[in-house]
Order: sequence, then C-alpha cells, then structure tokens
Amino acid sequence: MKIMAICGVGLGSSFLVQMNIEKILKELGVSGIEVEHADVASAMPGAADVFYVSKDIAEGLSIDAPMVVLNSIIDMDELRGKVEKTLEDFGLK
Amino acid sequence: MPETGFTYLPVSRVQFSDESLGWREAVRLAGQPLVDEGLVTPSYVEAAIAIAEEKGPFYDLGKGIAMPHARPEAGASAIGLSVLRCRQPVNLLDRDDHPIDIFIMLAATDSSTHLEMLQRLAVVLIDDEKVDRLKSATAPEDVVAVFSEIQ
Repeated sequence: MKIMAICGVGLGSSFLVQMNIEKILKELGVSGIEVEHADVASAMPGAADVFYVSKDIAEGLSIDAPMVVLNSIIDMDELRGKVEKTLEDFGLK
Repeated sequence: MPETGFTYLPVSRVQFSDESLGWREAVRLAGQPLVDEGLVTPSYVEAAIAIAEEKGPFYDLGKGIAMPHARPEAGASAIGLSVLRCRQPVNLLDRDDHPIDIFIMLAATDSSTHLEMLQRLAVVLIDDEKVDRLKSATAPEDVVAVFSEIQ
C-alpha cells in the first residue's frame, strides 16, 4: 500500500506530512506501507492508494482516488486519527 | 542536554516585527536573510508568494505557523531556514481564517536532501510546548535554542 502526501510545491508541507505519517505508522507498529510526498500535479489515480492533502489544496483538487483532507499539517492528534481510519479502510488494522 | 546546534537556522536569520504587515510584505521580510546570505534569490521569495496566490494557503501548517517555500528552480542554491516572528498576526492571502504569527521560510535545493532539517522542524512544530516557547521567545537566541536542544 502507498500513501502520498501532497502540497502545492511538493517538498515542504508535504514532506512534513510524510514524516509525521511515518512516525505514526511506527508508533502503531505498522510496517510495509510506503509513504511519499509530491506536488499537486502528481496526485493522480495509480500514483498511490490514498492521498493526504491539506484543506486548501483539496478545495481545488479532484482525483478519482481516496483522499484524506487535513485541517492542520502539524496536528498529530488529527493526523493519527486519520491514519488509523485509513488503515481500517484498507483492512490493515 | 547539550546543545547540538542547528546549522540550518543561525541567529542572524531570526527576526521579530512589531509592525502591522501585509502578508506579501511578511513573506518578503521573512525571506530577506536568506537573500542577504545568498541562499536564495529575490525571485525565489516572489515565487513563494506567487505559488500561494495560485494554489492557496497550503503552507499554513496550523498553530499560526506558515512555512513559505517555492520550487528550488525558482532560485534556491542552498538548504536553510529563516524565521520571522510577527507580534501582530498577518492574514495569509488576506484570509482571516489563516492568521500567522510565525513565518519559517524554507530554502531547499531538491525535493529530499533537506530531510534532516525538516525532521528537526517537525519535532518542534508537533510539540505544543515547544511551539509555545517559540511564540514567547523575545530574542533570536531563544528561537534558535528551541531547535538546537533536540537530540
């Protein structure tokens, strides 16, 4: 399974989200999930199984793939809840 | 805990402002030390403004912290950070749902070699106690210390 964090540039905000997702997966003891970061243009079906996107990017983005919208990039409680939900959705938890 | 230092953010790149700044002014001011020290060109800073205008306030990280940045090709030649603490909050993109009081300007030369720098940033920003210390800092040294003391 692959998670892709998306931001407008593809190297700052999205990289932070990627690192925080990896941290949470480690805390949860989940392995075998690939996490990457990229810019908006890379957000297309097939590039990943689920896309994590900040709220403001999500407003202008329509992809035919599961998308998780984040209110804050550095709120670990929010992110943890959403990662757990993703794992449930994919039957990994 | 011994200070390990944080070479990506020297004291010379931390600024405080009491002025009422427009958001573009704030981004330019935040980026000025990186321009002065030659890590980025002025066009990189303008690109960071333009990309927010184009794609929205995606570099609002939450907690009143924004991390303006642009693509390396816009004019970044080294990896580093600068910080602007605004004592009067600035509305990113003039939107009152995006008030910012700390701008952390990011210079990166590709999409992944700045991993170590961002890891350190992430450790600070997800920790509310450290964010509070950043916001109550009154001297550049205090800001740098928050980043430096992490193992």
